[in-house]
Amino acid sequence: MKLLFGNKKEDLLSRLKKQDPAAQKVFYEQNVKKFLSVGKSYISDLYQAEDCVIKAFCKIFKHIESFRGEGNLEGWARRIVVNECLNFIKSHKTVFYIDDINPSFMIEAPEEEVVFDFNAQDLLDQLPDAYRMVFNLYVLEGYSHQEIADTLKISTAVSKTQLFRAKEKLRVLYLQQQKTMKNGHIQR
Amino acid sequence: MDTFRDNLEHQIKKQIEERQITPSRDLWSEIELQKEKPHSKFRMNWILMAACMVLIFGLGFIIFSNSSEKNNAQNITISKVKDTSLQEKTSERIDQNAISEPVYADKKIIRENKEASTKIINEVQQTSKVLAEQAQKVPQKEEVQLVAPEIPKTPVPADKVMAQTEDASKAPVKRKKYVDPATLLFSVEHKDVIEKTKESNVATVDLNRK
Repeated sequence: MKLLFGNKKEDLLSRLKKQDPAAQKVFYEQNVKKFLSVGKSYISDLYQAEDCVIKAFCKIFKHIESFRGEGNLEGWARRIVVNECLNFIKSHKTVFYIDDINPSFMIEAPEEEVVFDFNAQDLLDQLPDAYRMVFNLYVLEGYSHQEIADTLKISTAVSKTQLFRAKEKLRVLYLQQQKTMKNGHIQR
Repeated sequence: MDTFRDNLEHQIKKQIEERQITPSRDLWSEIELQKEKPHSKFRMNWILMAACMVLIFGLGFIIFSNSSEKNNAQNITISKVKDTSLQEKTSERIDQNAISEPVYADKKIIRENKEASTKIINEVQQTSKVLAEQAQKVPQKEEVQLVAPEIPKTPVPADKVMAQTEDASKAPVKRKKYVDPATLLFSVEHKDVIEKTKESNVATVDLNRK
């Protein structure tokens, strides 16, 4: 396949714009695993994440003409996947954005060195939807608070508080995970 | 504290970006199915549109054919009336001409007859038009007669009659003849005296007679 398209993204893009099924298949195979990983970081259920990825691919192929070629094609497609996941969460779940900051989160925990043997997906799955969306958009997608506010239709202040709370929650969850892991090692 | 959180964020980002998840089912076939769906909807819409058009044209044709059949039937009846009237009139005239024609008829007389017959035909055509107009009016009258048939009169006993019209009061009633009891007694007592004439009801009474 790489020989067929000469491994050139421009060629693939032009073929995608012509709605070539072979080019679409190549694009799918190149990106499906990455996009599913992105989807899974927003939606904990794999089946629902797969549904979102399917819809996103359909949109990508349908609206490929609107891609001007200014940026990266994968980045543009990834944005569509993210938007599809956000739409799914908005339509299927009730998201509560709590504006105030709980003082319990402000209690300083002892500084611990981060042990890199942990499951990030487990931590993200335990986050509430509102925290997870803001955290993912800010940390993984690199959105600014203004962009998050525009996409989620919330204020920038709410976006900031949600991110703060998400980080705190992740820290607590991480410590809990480390504790259980340590206990598991001791028992063995 | 902040460095710890930053490290955690960094590690989460790294793990998620490096990770690749293989789909649990064949997503490509589902994508292909979803890509085909809009086309099928489009086709279905076209089929529906075509079916609607056929229905509309079919109904229009049926209605048009029904109305044209009615018009044809009316025209046929009018033409039949015209033909019959023309035939009758012409046959009558021809008969009259045949009777009036003398045996020694010359060519001039025949020409005159022809001219006369053409005049008659014209007259007959005019009359036929009038007849046709009448023929159009006649069925309406018949329909009216059919719609409102005459209700048979049932005899009602006098006790049950609640109200009467003036016409009913004008109905012929036998006048009762009242007899004066004095005159009746008188006539019986003086039966012999009273002389009746055969032609008149006037009686002459001779009271001096014994």
